[in-house]
Amino acid sequence: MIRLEQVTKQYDLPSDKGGELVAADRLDLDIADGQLFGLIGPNGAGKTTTLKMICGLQVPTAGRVTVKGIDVQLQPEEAQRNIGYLADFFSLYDDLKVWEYLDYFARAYKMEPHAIPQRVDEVIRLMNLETKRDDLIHGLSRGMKQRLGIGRAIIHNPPLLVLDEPAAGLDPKARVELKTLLKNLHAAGKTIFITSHILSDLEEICTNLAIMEKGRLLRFGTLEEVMREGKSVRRYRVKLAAPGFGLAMWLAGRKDVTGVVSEPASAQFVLDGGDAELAELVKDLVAAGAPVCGVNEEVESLERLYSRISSGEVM
Amino acid sequence: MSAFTVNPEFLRNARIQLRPGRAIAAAIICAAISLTIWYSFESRSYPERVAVDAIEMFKFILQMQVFVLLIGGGIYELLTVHREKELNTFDYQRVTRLSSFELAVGKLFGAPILTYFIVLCLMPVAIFAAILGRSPLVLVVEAYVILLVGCIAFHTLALLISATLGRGVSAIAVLPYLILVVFTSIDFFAGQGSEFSPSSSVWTVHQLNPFAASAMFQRDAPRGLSDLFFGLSVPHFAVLMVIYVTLIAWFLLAIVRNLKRDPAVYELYSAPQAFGFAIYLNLLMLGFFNWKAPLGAPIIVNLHLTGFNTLLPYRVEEMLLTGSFWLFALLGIVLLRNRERVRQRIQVLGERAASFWAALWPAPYVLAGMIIAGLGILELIRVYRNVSGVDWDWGLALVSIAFFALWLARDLLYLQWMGLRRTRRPLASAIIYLIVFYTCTGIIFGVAHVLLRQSVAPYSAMLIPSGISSLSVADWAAHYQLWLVALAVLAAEAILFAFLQRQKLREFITPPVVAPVVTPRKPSLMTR
Repeated sequence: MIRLEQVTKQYDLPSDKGGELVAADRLDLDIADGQLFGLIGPNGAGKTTTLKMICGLQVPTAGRVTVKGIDVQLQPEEAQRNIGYLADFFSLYDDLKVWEYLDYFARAYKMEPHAIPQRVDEVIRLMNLETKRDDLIHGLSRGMKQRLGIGRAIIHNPPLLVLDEPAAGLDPKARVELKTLLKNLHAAGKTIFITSHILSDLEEICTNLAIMEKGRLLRFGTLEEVMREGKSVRRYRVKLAAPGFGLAMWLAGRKDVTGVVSEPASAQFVLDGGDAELAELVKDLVAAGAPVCGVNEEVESLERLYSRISSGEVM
Repeated sequence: MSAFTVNPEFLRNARIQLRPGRAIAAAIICAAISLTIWYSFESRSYPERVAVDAIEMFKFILQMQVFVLLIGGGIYELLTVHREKELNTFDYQRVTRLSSFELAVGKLFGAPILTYFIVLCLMPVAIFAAILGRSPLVLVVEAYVILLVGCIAFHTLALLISATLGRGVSAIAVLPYLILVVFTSIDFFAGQGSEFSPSSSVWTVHQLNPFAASAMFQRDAPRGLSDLFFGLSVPHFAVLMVIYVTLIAWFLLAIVRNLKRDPAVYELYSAPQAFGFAIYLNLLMLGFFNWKAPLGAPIIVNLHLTGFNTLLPYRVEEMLLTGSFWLFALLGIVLLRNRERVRQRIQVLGERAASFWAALWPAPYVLAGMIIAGLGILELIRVYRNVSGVDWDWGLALVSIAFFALWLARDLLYLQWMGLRRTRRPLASAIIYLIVFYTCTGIIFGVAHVLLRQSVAPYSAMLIPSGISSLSVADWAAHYQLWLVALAVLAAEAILFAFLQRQKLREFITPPVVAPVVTPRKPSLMTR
């Protein structure tokens, strides 16, 4: 669906701040149809620039962007008919009514005139804005405006949605609604490219992920791939049925164990080895008289992984 | 009409601006103004003066309509794209399937739609006044065509300005627009039909902005005004229509080329288009110059004007070369490339984009333009002016053209070089430095009477060669070697700035500064 080939975007920094800022540095990315792709990174990582280049709003300094095989720079209008776009700092036409706003964009995307009223009503329903259909936009809440913005992005039924920080500024309830909406759109067959600071949200809904920093893609792949690759070591937790056994001491005495953290009736540790070594350790532990009632691998959150990657802890 | 109703951008503007409440309020205000005008007319008009007073009333209403549409509509246009960029809604329009032309037309007629509505609301009282004043129907129609087409021309320019404005400068843009409106309000051909002869005007064209609509109803020109184009009498209405329509086309071309582009790589015109536009403006300037009249200082005997001295050919050349200089300066500024455009060229052309020829940009176009315009001026002087027996030398005339051409080329090469520096607004600061340079040098030359001392004037021409235009043939003959050296120095300065520009271009060729690598990519994760 989206292909980036050696895409680079340079900006000028003022002379007193040094050279040029590379907002996107030779990006190679291939996003297949039907993915819900999340791009994460700190402010200034180059996420918005990348999105804008995909939408044809900014011209890359070098490289090529294609959407459905169409070169965005050479045939922007052809490529854009496949894209629904929502910007990070978005604004709507406050003096228009909700239906007029959607009607405007339906016409601007050159939908068949007879199909427009039906599609406008359909999107209003999908966005759960039926009661606000004839209201002026300036009276809507932030969450409603965000939904209307997404409604605008899907009004022409594009196969690809490009959403820049859609959850920014939304209250928890609106965020839940947004996640549900995105899941539904994904289930309906849309490819979604989304950026967000709220990593837990992305972790919950994305099928694929990329981590971007200083214009570079540090990791990308399926969620599982990114999480697995991020782990340089395997961390486990052993639980005891009752306290009393010197678990931490016992673990610290083994050569293949490091990073022991003692907890009440349990302990965390890092094991140098795979499943076989773990089985051996558990066998030894039981033989030593420990009342083991559970062993599990610690699952690392995306947020934790991201912070370790960006701090250089994980290479 | 359907062309407008199917244009979504026009429809959007109409929906916002003509909501019933707002439209009714505008209509009520217009009705109140109409009644007030009518009452003031009724209360002071004598039966025998009804027709005359009605015409005055009609002209007043017409001027009011022009004011609303030209100024009010112009301000709406100045804000339309710029405001959308500020609100971040313009990107949404750029990603729709509306073509640049559709978007431009929708904004051109949609943004000022409230002012069109106000003009419409004032029409009943205007029509009534025209009927009462027994105005010829043709004149009334012509006046409204001027109003409409003229305002569209100004609106197109305002829309172009709006599209090219950076963030946070919309208020500044209103000022040049208003200055242009005031400047074009001048009746350059005011001497026509007066007690003086037509020769009292330098230019032979009347008022150029839509306020000309009310000037069509002058009592001393019952059949309408006329202008002189290369000495031929042409109806002013026809002149305005040609100028308005061609300017609309030129401005729309620039808008359509750029409206949906990334603003960082805006290019108003391609080089041939910009060249063509500058040549066209030169043609208008030369065409409306009063070639047949002597155009000298007035001869006054016993407080009575008895005639005019002849304006010497070298003064004509100076005046017109200065005009061409500014027109081609505009062309040159349009052609200047910013850093982003240079990057794009480097990507496409590689080393060739930083060759010495590339570093001469935009000098070849302005040099060619100034030379063509200068030779045209000389040819017209040869045709229309008798140069025998006056202070005139063809060699000096040609050298003057060379000085003006190189002067402009030097300054534009300087601007292009400075414009490629890595600062916040490199071109703006370059222009400020240039203004400071001319101000300081001008003051020093003025105080030291440099231009009046022919032995030192050629040295001043190495910095500001304006002295060449006031040079007498005798002084030229006495010091021509020095003047030619000054010309060579001017050329050397231009080459120096080209060299500096090349240095800048070379910096783009060197490998880009890349942000520090945080962690290497793991190929195993790549999906392709």
